[in-house]
Amino acid sequence: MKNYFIARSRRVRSTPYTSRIENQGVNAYTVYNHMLLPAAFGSLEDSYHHLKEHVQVWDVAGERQVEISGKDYLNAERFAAKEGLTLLGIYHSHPVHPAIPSEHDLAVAMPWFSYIIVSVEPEGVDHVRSWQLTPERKFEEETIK
Amino acid sequence: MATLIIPTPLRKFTDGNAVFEATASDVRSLLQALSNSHEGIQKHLFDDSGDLRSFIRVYVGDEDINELEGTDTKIDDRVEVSIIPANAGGSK
Repeated sequence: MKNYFIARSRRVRSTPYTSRIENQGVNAYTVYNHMLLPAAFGSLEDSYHHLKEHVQVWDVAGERQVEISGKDYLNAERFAAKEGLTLLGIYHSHPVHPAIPSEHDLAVAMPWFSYIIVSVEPEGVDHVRSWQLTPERKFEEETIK
Repeated sequence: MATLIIPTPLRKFTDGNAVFEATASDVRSLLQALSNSHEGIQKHLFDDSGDLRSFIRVYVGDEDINELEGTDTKIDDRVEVSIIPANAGGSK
């Protein structure tokens, strides 16, 4: 495949880092979740040294999922039991992505818990939605009051 | 009797009870006893082939059974077994 320019459009967004990345001499981007992520700075050798010597956002971190460790969850349950509290749900964010459960969210969800998702854009929180898994393992939206 | 701690979201299936007790010698038979006595909970613990769902963790005391012998891990009346739903997420 040849190299082509990425056209500026509403489907491709810059990030809070884009202007600084461009000042550093980025010469190739990849796109994740409509977001421009740097893929190269000059030659392969230049890129290697750039990655070693500068702090920046590369697409290597773009697809990371988050997970609360089993022991942390266990401690939260024990704390709630001790204090006479009830865990109602968990929340997580979707950077530059709508607050709609992903396939991954569906695979790991438990029924009856509230799954609050915060959609975050570079300017800040865009919207918040909450979802609950039915016993048939389908998400239904809850009203946030 | 072995003691099993039910995570909050699954307590709807156990009439709100946080603790389930049954006679069992290993983790699998304890989870199976829970499934047999509480309708609807099985599909949230096991997949279609009968294996523990990949996003369910089970702890014996403070140890993940994946670090022990999985669902074959032996238990006795002194240990507390906990079901832990993996709380994970991401936009993909």
